[in-house]
Order: sequence, then C-alpha cells, then structure tokens
Amino acid sequence: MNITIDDLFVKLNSKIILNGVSGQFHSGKISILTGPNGCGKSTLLKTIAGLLPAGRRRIFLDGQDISAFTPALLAGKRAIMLQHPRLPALMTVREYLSLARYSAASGRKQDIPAIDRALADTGCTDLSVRQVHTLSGGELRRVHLAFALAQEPELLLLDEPEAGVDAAGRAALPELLKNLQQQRQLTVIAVVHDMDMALHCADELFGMQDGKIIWHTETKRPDLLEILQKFTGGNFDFFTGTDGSLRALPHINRHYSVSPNGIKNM
Amino acid sequence: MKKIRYIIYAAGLLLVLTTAVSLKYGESAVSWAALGNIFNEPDTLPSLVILELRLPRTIAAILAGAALAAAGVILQKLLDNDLASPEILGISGGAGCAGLLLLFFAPGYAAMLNAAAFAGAVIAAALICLIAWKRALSPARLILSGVAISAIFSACGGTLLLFNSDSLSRVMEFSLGGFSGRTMEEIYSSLPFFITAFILTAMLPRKLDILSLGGETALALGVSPGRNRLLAVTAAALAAATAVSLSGLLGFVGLMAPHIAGRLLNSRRADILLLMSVLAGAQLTLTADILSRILFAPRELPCGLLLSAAGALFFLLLLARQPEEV
Repeated sequence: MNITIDDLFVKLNSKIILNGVSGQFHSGKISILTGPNGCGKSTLLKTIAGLLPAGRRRIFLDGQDISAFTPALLAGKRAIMLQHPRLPALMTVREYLSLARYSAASGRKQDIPAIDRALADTGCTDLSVRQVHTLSGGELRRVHLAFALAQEPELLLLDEPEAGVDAAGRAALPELLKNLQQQRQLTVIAVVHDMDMALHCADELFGMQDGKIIWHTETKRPDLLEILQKFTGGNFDFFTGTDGSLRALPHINRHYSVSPNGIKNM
Repeated sequence: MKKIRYIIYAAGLLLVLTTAVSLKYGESAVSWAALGNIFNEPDTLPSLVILELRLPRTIAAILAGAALAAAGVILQKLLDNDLASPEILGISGGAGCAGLLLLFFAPGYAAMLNAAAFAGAVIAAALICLIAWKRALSPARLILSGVAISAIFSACGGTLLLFNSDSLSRVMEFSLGGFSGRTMEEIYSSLPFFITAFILTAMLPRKLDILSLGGETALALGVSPGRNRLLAVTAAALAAATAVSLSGLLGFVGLMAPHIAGRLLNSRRADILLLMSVLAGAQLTLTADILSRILFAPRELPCGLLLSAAGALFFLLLLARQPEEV
C-alpha cells in the first residue's frame, strides 16, 4: 500500500504537533521514522492509522483519501501497535488476539488460522493459554505485535517495537520485521528511536524534527553515511561493524549540564 | 472452557429450582402436588395464591435481578471500574426523585409510580450522557457527570420528602425495594423495555471487550468509541430503569452479581461474564425475595434490606481475602 501525505497539520489540545508534513511511504517497503522526543513521530503514525483526524485530502492510501474510510473498513487494511496499549483484564493471549479479528477483512471463518499464524510468526505459540497480565515486558511486546498481525493488515504501523525488549529480542527484530514484510507482503512504517536498529530494519529512513519530515533516504544508497552525518548532526557516532554493516551509537556528550529547561550542551 | 460451561449450567439449574421454591413457599406453603396442579385447577385457593401472588413477584424478581446485573457488568466493563453500578447513571437518584414528584403533586396517581420511576431514571441517564458527551463519551467524564447529576437528583428527592411526609411509608417501601404486590399487568407493561434492553445488550459483548482496551485501540479495530459507548450506556440505563420501575431502588445487585460471576469464572470476557452475572443477579434477588417472605412471616421484610445486608457481608468477605498490597 502506497501512502502519500500532503501538507498535514495536526493540533492536539490546541498545540500544533504536526506542522506541514509531506512525504511518500512506498508499498512493500519498511519505512522508519526517526527523530528526537516530541518531534511528532507517534502523532504522525497515529494520524496515518486514522486514529487522529487528518482533515480532507491530506493522507492518501493507494490514492484514496483516508477521511473517506469508515473505522471498520480501515481496520481491515491497517493495524497499529501502540507504544503503551492498555491490557485486557483477566484474558488469555488467544482470547485477546480474537478481539483483533473484529473487523478483519477475511471474516470469522479465518479467525483461528489467522490467530495461529500471528502467534507462530511472532514466536508466541507457547504463550497462547497464558493470562495476558502475567507476561513479561518482552513477551508482552511480542504479543502486541501478534495482536496487530492477527488483524491481517496490508499496512503495519509500529510505535517503537524495540522498546522494552532484551538484547536477544532486539538482535532478532530486524530479521523478524523483514521476514514478516516478505511473507505477508506488508507495507511497514515504524517509529524507532534507536538509530542502529533503524539502520538495520529500514529500506527507507525518514528524519523528523519540529513536526516536519526534514530528510529521507534509502538505506541502500552508497552515500548513506554522508547523508546521515549531515542530517543527524553530532547526535550519533557512525562506524562500520565487524560484518561490514553501518552501525550507530548515540554520541555521548561529556560536557553537559541539566538546567530547569532540560539538558543543554555546554 | 468446559469448566465454565458446567458452572453456567449449574447456575441455570439452581435458578430453576429456586423458582419452584419461590412458588411453593411464602406466608403459607402449598404442597408440591398443588404446585403441579395450578394449570389443571386454576380456581382452587393454592392455585390462586401461586398465580396471582407468587408468580408475578417471582418473575419480577428474576427480571429485575437479571437486568440490574447486566447493567452492572456493562458499566463495570465500560468504565473499567469494579465499583461502578447502575447508580452511577443516576438510575436511583432519577427514579426516586420522579417517584417523589408524582406522590407530591399527584398523590391520586400513585399507581403510576412504576412509570414515573422509569421516566425519572431514563431522564437522569440521558442528562448524564448529554453532559459527559464530548467526541467520545470518555469514562472519566461519564463518572464525573454521573456523580454530579445523581447528587442533584438525590438532593431534590430529599427536599420533596421533607415537604411530603404523608407518603413517607410508600416512599420508604419504594426506596428500600421489593417485590410484594407486583401484578402480571405490571410485568407485561415492562416487558417491551426488558426485551429492547436485552437486544441491545446482546449486541455488546465483543464491543465491551474491545472498548476496555481503550478508545485508541477500539478505533484501530474498527469500533468507534463514542457511538459504541453510547450504545452500551443506553442498554445499561434501559435495563436498570426498567428493573427499578418494578422493584424500587434495589441496591447492591448491580454491584455484587458481576463480582460473584467474575470470581466463579475467573475471567472477565464480556460474553460469559454477562451470562453468568445475569444468572447470579436473578438468583440473588429471587433468594432475597423468598427469604423476605418467610423469615419473619407473616410480616414481610423489604427485599432490598436483605440484599444490602448480604452485599455488605460479601464485600467484607472480599476485603478479608484481598491479598496484601502496599
């Protein structure tokens, strides 16, 4: 599914969060949004999901205006994994996932196979009879991913899929996303804070700041390093890993002070 | 799942047995043989006692208990609050106030008390929704406006009572709640409302489970939070208002039945929780009604009084078994 965004403005509680976002997310690609806290990444993701009003002729899914979709129709096309989804009270993982099938395009007969497949694809099969509230943070993150997949979306939106996941889980995440994308013919848009993770997951990278997309690049480009260095200015140290891939670590600034207005460089 | 099915069957069976007991026992017990014979010999005294006195109040108790329990489950799920009960929708405040208005301004029409109570409850619930409505009828707004409007109606009711002490005994009877003196006519006229509430409730279970995941997730799954919360509140208000018009202000059923059901099933899935709560609610009110007839016969206790006592005991028990937390 191709997503086109045209000069999108979003206000929340009379504060401007998205200030004229434009961009294209391509069908069959994994697109990753990066940027500092509060730059509007999550808001953009939720607006693409149709959870926040976008206004007319601002977001197009395969050329169709998103404001023309009913919630049920949209739920058959896209799924979103939120950053902090509310947990169900006293429910098994399988019962929880069955709720995701409410508006699924493939219908009630496909409920059980779709849930089984979502559990298998995320390594949650063994968790299916567990109570959701007894799961660990990492297990919960996988179950939430399975919840989104059980909807059988064309477009998968992920808000920080790497958050709260241990080292092994993080190491497996890029491969997991790529496999899911290929097997299910998904279009993926994810918000990822960890630049290293973003580099390994993404086909295309988007940088946001102050409510706008200010740069984007394909990760296959030979001049990727120059582009990243130009736009993420000093926030990351880039280097080549032992396997030859480009790696990124946050640049540690040893000269800073904490003032009432936040962390300041000296 | 199998265990849950057996629990529900057992509860259904218990309710059927209790219904038979309710028809048999009262101020004077009839024999089982007479109970089996009511339709063959409808004109004998035992048959008349059963058909004219005990059958209506038995049906009323079952319907009211079931409806209050359903309203309780819907509101507890919707507001994500285990202490929510139909009172939060101004049901008792509105019904009580309207009943008092009727007795004050038109004491000749005291027979219309049921209808007035129903109207008052519906008006209070509608007012609460109107004030709470802002895009999506959020649980927090619903609770706040519910508390405020209920308080206003209760205050109005209290003021009316002060100026109208003549009807005190009738008002007391209504506000304690009970089923003595119910007639089949009253049940027939409440039936359309119960059926509407039932149909609305039957549409709810999956939506309630999804709404309990929060408005954003609900919308992501294709369930518009505003519209569906309004549907749920309408179902709960209609069920509770109709129940209250039959039973008076029965407290604790809407609060207690969902807790009992949740404990028995060890699940909060809305479909089985609703089913089990409805059975538990009917069982509670019917048992309380039977006890209210026979405990101090020939004097009758208000059924609501017994339910409040049982409710208090139940929650103290819950408290004692609560694991320690900081």
